[in-house]
Amino acid sequence: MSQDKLRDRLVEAARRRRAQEATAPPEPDALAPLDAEAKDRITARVMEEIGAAPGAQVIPFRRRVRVAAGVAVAALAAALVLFLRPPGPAPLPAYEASFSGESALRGTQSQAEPPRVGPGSELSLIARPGRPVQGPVEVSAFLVRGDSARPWAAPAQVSPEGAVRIAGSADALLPPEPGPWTAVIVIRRPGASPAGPRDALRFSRGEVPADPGVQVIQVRFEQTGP
Amino acid sequence: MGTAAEPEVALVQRALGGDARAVRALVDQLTPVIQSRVARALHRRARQASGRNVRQEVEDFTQEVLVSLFTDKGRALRAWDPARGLSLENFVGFVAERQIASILRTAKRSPWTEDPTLAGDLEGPAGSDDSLAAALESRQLWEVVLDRLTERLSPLGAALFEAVWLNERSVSEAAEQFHMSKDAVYAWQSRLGKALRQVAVEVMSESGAPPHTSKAGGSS
Repeated sequence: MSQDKLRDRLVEAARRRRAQEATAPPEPDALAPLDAEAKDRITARVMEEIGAAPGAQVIPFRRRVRVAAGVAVAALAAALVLFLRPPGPAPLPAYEASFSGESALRGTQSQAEPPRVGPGSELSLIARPGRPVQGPVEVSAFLVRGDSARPWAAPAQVSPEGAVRIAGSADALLPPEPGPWTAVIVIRRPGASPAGPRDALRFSRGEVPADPGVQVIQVRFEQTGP
Repeated sequence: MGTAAEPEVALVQRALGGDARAVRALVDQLTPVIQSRVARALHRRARQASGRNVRQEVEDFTQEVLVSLFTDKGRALRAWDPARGLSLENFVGFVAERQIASILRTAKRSPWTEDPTLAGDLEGPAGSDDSLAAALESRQLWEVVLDRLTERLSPLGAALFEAVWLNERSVSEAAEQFHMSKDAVYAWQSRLGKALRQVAVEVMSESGAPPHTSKAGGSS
């Protein structure tokens, strides 16, 4: 067999494939553009590959957890946020947060009822900066109830663009104390004064950080019992 | 290098240097072409993938391809030279084809993986060039050969394959399109021919037929 014949057969196969693709394209679902969240994940993974993760720990956000708990996932989230835009050089941009659990609100919906999380449900709190953040950020998390604030030892992931995510099972992330909580997330530039529980308590009451390199997010939710 | 490509070259350089904004911009720019190649490749293997979440697979493969561009200090991406006549999207499209073919062939985790053993498609031994031709009449085997060759070719090789073999552009036209000498195009054709033959023999061998021992006749 000559190489010409091999070549002809190969070209036939390539043309046949091309014709098939023209007449039977992939399903629309496969071609629908990837959303911003998917691109965030890809970007984070690429940054990891480059090894140029900015200062803060950069962990690529995993694919959304598909909650398979019998009940339809409530996706949703309450969003809110506060943030302070103190004047000054290179402040952190304002953040917007979303929270999802068993039930929730999303985006700009009013928070008539706080979202709920409970045993067996997945919790996801995501704080996104209004624009990509250049440089590293650090994160501290707190849980506030009444006049008491405590550090929240939930693992916070930071994307290369400064988005923050806390996610996992409610059982693992929350103390076994059903009731209302205010999660206070403090995002700051390295070098800014670290926040403590007393700061978190003040922030939960509306106090604004003086440092332009600090942003605070509050999310109120209800932890349900078994 | 053409001035039209300079902003893209700069963008690539910034991304390779770890600039998160540039990386995101490249992800935005290149995702559609990669996703399209991924979707087509997965669609061709739809039978092997029943029950899979196609959407999820498309994202995973797209991510793998994009990451591969930056692997080993961005070796694949650094190979892009706009002076060679390929736009960044076209270049990455060929890289994607190669990467996807490789992943699909080797990834044990994926039900998309094609079984290279297609003994059932073979009807005779491959003891000569003609029998090689006869045995490779199977369309499925030629699909495998095509994928395997795609996996071997550099983006420029793939572009030349498409231009000269598939689209029957003349050597002069190809030389002009890819900014190379005619001799260089001839040399590429020779390399393509050798690669094709090597792949054909490999596929035959993997398919369970007796080893092929004779040399190719014909031109190079």
